[in-house]
Amino acid sequence: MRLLLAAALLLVADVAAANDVAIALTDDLIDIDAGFSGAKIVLFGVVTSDEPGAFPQHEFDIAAIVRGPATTFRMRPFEQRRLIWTPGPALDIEAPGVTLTLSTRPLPEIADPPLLDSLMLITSAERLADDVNPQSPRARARLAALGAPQVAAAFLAEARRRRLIVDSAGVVDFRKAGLFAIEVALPPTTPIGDYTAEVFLFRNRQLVSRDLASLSVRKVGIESAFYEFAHRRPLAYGVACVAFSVVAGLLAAAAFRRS
Amino acid sequence: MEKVLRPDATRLSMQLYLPIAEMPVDPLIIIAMGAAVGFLSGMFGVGGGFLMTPLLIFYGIPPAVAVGSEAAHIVASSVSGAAAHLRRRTVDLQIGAFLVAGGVFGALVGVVLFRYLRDRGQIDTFIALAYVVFLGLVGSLMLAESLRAIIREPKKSAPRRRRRTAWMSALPFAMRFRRSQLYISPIPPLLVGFSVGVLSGVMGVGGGFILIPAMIYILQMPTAVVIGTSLFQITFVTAVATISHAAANKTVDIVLAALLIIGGVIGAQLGVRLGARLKAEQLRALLALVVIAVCLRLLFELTLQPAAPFRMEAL
Repeated sequence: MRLLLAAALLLVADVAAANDVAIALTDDLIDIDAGFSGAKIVLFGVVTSDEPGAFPQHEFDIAAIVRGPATTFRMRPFEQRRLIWTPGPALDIEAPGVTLTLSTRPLPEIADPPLLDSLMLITSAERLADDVNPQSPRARARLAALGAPQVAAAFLAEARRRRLIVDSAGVVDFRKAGLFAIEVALPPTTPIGDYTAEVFLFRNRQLVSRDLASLSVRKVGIESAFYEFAHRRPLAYGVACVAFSVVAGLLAAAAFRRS
Repeated sequence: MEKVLRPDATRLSMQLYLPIAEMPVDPLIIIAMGAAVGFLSGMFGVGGGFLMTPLLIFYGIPPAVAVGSEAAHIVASSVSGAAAHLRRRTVDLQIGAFLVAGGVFGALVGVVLFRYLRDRGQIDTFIALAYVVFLGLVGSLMLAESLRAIIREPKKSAPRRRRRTAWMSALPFAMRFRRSQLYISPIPPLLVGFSVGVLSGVMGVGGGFILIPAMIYILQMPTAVVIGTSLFQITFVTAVATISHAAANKTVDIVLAALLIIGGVIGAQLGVRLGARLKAEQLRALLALVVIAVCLRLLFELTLQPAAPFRMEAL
């Protein structure tokens, strides 16, 4: 499987330009079943070079970014009302459900911040600040008082804490002849939907090539059956839950009465 | 190096993915929590919903899912008791019908209130606050009662309970309730049922700890039918709460409820057997302390400044 993948990549890369990168994923469909506790996928790629001699691996840098489906995150600033801290008005931020960045070296060593920012490899609070949407007049006033960059920065901090945004450096495993592999760990709470994996090839702090792959995360089996039932026919699902509870309660009582 | 990486390669301990809560849990821990609360229920005859829901929240289950799924669990844990009391004819079906009618309406109102608060991001605070009040109340009453029993304060010989029902029979539509030998208006049972139903809808509890005192002291029902009638009411009302949560909020996780049912059944059986042998008062004091501890933990979470300045939620 792996050899086939590598061979296919080499074929694709052969017809391409001087320095090029091409990627493929071991799995483009991740199934969430009853035993799901996160997933590891391997992103395979090849860097081609038409220069004679040995492959100058050390001259290249690779940065990959895996993005989950677009998600609305609702941020509520805590407010103290008398003695109690309660979440305040809603400020929404659109962002990928997860963002995993994986690179050969820490990003600032690979390229300059403006380039990284234009490639969306780094998410700055300043850029994200434009996407903060207050959901009510009170939220608008609160946003004005707090400042959008501060809200965006709080979002980034919380997303990092929950490991929805993870940067890992030194995780690109170069094999011979420009072949490389990157292991991507999706968290247990990874959202369902369509993901993209984008890989950038840098040389001398400049972008030389990029490639894109996609994958889907979906629920399968009993997980999917319950989820679909609960969301498509909620009333029937509720009745079924009660029927299950009644039967389970009566059966358990009967079983223990006999013993 | 040629090992095949599969999606479950990161599995470390036993994990079960909950389809509605959308998170993996350790099923053994959930079962153990169900058993611990079931044990207390079996020993003391309390429902346990008021402990189960906060425990689930402490574990990390979203509060909304904890409330919805706990309602389904209570249906299972009360239905067999209700059936047994029906067989023994220790249920006042007449008053029960009014308690259920009020309770069903209350549960619907509770679920609507729940949804309103959830949409405004206030449900977690509200649930925590409601639990602080009720756990504080129940915990201190239990503690006081057991301490009194432990230091053997001579009980004043209670004067024969005289039934004060005149004000209830003066209300409109007064009627005779044969099983309880009462002549009262159905309005008080409707209102009692309604209040407990609201609690059930919002907090994911059966509400026995409110219902039973209310039936004894307000409705003046004979104690012989109180337990049976309350289980009868709780079974119906939590069933309606479960269905409404599923329909309106999509927060009933049947896998979570099933784990709690398994644990609860085992725990309750052990609790009943051990409860018969052990000295109850010390244990009751211990339970009271557990209840107060849970209450204090919730209170601290509400009043201490949160570590993060924002609450983040993925929609």
